[in-house]
Amino acid sequence: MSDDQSYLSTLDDIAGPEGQPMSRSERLYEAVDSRLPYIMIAPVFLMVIGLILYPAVWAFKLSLYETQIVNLDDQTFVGLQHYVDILTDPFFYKIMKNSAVFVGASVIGQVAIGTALAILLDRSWLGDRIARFFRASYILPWATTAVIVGYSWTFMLNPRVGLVNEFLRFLGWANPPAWINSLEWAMAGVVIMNIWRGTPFSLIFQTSGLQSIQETLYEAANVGGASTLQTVRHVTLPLLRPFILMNLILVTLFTFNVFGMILVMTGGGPLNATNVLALYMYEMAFDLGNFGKASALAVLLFGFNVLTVAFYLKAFGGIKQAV
Amino acid sequence: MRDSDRSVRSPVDRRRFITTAGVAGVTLLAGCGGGDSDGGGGQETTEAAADAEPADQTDTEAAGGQTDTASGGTFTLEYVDVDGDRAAEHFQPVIDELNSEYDTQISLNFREIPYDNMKQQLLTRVGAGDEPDVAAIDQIWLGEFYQSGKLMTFNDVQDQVNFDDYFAGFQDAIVQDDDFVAFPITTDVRGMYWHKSAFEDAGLDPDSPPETWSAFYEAAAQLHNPPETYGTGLIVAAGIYSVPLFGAGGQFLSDDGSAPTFQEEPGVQAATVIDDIHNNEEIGPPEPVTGGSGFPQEFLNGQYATTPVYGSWMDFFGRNEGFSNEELLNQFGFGLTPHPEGSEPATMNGGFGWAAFGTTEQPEIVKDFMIRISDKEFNRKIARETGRIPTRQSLLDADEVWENILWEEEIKGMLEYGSTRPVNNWSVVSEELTPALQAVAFDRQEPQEALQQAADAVSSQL
Amino acid sequence: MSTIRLDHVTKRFAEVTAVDDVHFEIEDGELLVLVGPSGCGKTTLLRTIAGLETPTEGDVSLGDRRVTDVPARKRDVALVFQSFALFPHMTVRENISFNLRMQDNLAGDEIDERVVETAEMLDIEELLDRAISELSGGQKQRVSLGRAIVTNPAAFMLDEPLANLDANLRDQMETEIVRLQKRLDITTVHVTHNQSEAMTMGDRIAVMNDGQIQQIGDPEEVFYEPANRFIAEFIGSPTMNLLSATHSRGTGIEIDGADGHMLTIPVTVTAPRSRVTVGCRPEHVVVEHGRVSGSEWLTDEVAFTEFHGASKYLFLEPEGLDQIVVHVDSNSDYEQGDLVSVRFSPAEVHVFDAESGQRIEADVPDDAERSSEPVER
Repeated sequence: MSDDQSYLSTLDDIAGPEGQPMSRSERLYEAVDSRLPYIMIAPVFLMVIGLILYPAVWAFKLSLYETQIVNLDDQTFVGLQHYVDILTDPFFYKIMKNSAVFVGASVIGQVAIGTALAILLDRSWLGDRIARFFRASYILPWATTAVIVGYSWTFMLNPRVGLVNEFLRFLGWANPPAWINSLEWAMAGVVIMNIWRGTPFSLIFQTSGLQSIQETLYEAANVGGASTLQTVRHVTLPLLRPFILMNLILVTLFTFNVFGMILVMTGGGPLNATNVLALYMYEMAFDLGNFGKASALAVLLFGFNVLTVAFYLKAFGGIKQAV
Repeated sequence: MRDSDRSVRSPVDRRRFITTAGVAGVTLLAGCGGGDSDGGGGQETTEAAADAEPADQTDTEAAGGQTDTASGGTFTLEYVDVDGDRAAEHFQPVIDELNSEYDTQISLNFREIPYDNMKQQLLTRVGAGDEPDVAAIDQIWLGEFYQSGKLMTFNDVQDQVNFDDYFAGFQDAIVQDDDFVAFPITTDVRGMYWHKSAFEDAGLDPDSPPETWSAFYEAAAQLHNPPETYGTGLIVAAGIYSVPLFGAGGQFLSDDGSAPTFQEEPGVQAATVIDDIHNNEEIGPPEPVTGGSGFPQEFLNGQYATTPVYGSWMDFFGRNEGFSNEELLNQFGFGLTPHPEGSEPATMNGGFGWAAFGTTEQPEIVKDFMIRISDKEFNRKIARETGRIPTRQSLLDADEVWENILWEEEIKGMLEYGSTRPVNNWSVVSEELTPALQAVAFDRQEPQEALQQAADAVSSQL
Repeated sequence: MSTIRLDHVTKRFAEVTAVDDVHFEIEDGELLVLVGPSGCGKTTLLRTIAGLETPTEGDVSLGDRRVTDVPARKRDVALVFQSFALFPHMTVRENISFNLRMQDNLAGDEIDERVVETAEMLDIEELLDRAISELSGGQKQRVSLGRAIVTNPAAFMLDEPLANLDANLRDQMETEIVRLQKRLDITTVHVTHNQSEAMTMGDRIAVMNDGQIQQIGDPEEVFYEPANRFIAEFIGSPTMNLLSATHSRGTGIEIDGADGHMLTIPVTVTAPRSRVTVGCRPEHVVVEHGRVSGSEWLTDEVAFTEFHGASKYLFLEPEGLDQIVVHVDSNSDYEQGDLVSVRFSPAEVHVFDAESGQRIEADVPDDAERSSEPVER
């Protein structure tokens, strides 16, 4: 039949003159409808390509060239030379060691304190009003700009007149550490600052995790004879596990990329005691102006981030745990 | 530096320069002559006179060119300077002059950036193609900015501005690869500051500070009263180190700039000063000062009784901290940094230059602006109004220049002993030397060893 | 040993009084079913006994011990939740052993032994190493029972444990819980909103409404002698027929329908007012085919019928009266549209005060009384 054939062939041949516009718009609708998810996702996809993928590829390309920030058009191909230079430089390993200490201590401190506070504020031990007040006020550090945090803590940790040392002296420590002026204590200083800044994020994150735990499980534990600590250990923490994993991953990624607060507070000093990979990369790009080498560092930083995520997922037993 | 091509163009600027000078009440020729008589020989006078000829010949041509490039429209001249004593109002009269000269409506966008952020911000803007029109750039940064290929060159007007009148130490920085790329603005010196009251309290004479390092250690030990006040303190960095280095008779690099020399005996002697202050004499803070940004405030607030090396811009921070000039003079002493026994005193001259970016939309106006602000009379005005040391030798004897400069006599005395750093290789030297000196201060390395390592690293990069 | 005594217990949440002056005692080894509609306060009362809520007023005692201020974990009361509340991150074994593990003084073998013992009792020993997510609803219920009884608690609280199960399983679990309870001889409070579950399981039933205990008694007592109209309506399925009526000493109770639909029940009550509500369960409505004369009979068409297996219910909708439901054997030949006559058996009617809803004891006339009545008339 000719009608059947036209139905199967082109749009123009369909049905009669009256049916044609209807079936055309239907087809259009059908076409749009079946591709709707792709159409909806396209803007985000394009943004990801434009704002993330393209710069990432560009950075990788740049890492193979020698180029200075003042004249980015002047590029000389050097292959993997930057990577060789970086990986054979003992300084890089000092930076990596610093990064490991900074990230490790910050992440453990931040997630542990954030989770502890979240648990403390979630169970109504403190009373709802107080808990709400604390939760709201604990957001402040996270909402504060990195530079301001850096400056504030520079004052807080001032060896002579800083609040921290005033307090330590009040507690009877006659010669408290010089913090960011000291080779031994500077890293502790920036870690404390970073934990202070990041804890609210973990607090909020774990609070949302806690809210996913049914109240009856706590009651079951209570009636079952579990003390508060036993409940936290046997019920709360195991059930928070996926949230803790996700929190660890995110905080590790955030912390690996922290440089602004350190830049303001110590500039990586003294004697590079607080210089970390992200800061080194920043200095390479904007102080030393070596964009090619800085890009190579950025690519390495990205690599470490990927490795970290892989490590966590493995340590916590697979991606299913996290989602 | 001069070729015929540029000679043809230079009169354009010269013609306007005459106007500038006229407004200032001084003619161009008088200005040049003044410079020559102060600092130059007869040969240069001849050169300048010869240069005057083509200027008149091409006057009309230049006027035609001017209407082509700068007629109508508006232009905002963006000027970037470090956070300091120079302010927009000093430059507004020059902009007003330019407005009467050009059809274009010109306005000034004066921006201050803290010194610590300046280099980075400017480098980033240059890299991004968003450079300002004019910037005050530390002499030690000029080399890097020159590499961008975007700096405007002033070879063609070199004689007009009486180049040879500038301090010799500055000439290295403003000429890059035979290109004249910046005009010196002011210079500075580094010396010792002390709290007069602390001296009095310790039974020392606030008007006769220690002159040698051993006397200094002795005085600082008497002043040392931790944790309220440390006997002394200084920023451990290559720039500060330069003064003891020069005082010990050392230099950073060999004369031709091809090899480091700071690891030699005088350098070690200078680094030993840092070692002594922090580790042997125990007259300094428990931990060395490695970041400089808070140091002047800490000194002014009495954390250190003395600082053997700091720049002559301390008064700027003093005023920021609420001191009046009078109070600064009454409460603080400034003088030569101590030196080893039997040696001459020394100081180090730094300073800023005005550079312009050739990428500006109005190169002609910008160049004119540059010439006007580098004019001797404008230099005189800037020195007077900002209380900063001028860079023209011909201005040093002018009394009005010193009106607002604190510790006038002491600074004049210091200028006798001034030397400069190797400005064009400074970032390489500083990048390696500063951590080495800090390692000494933190007692991680002995001076000899630390300096040798830094020298090896510098060698490989020169 | 472990009687539970509630001494004028009141629990208020802000403005809401969830439990209002509850005062009774649960005997040792007894299975008390707390029944009532949603929101009546029965769960709150249960949680107050378990220690999850603290009473606003009054006292709770377990055995000789006053436990009002003792936290739940120290009360030795087990609780089974409607949602089972099993720990999803633990296996069945870990769930059942949880309460034992929280006591520091038990050795590992002893715990294992008791878990296995309990699992056998509940017939779930094969499931011990399963994850909770792998269990069916009934299996979860058993695990949750197991976790509760493994510690040999002094009392056992069941908070609607069967509500999440399907009907067949529910019947089965009803039996099983009762069997378990009798075997362990443990004082038990079982909360449900399902009156038939309550009747099936309870040694005694406590009916709650609006935070107050309406009646406590064994199932028969509650069923046959409901203390008020609420209980009469709540207990029994289908619901008791309740009709408003006028009472007079002379004629007994008269129910007035429109168009001559009138019904007289020859009982006398000592009521303060003449307006009363008369109740009669569908089982106690006497029915005959066709029209039967006499003031005790009401004649109407069967509006529709409902088939319930062994039973059949006839629905009458006499004009001017509320619906009347009549229970008949399902093999009887009453059909929709048939004309039938019904009467309420005087011995089985319940009379309630129209205003307060309180039960009024009816004097069921024996023949002598009946004969004496005309004398009065």
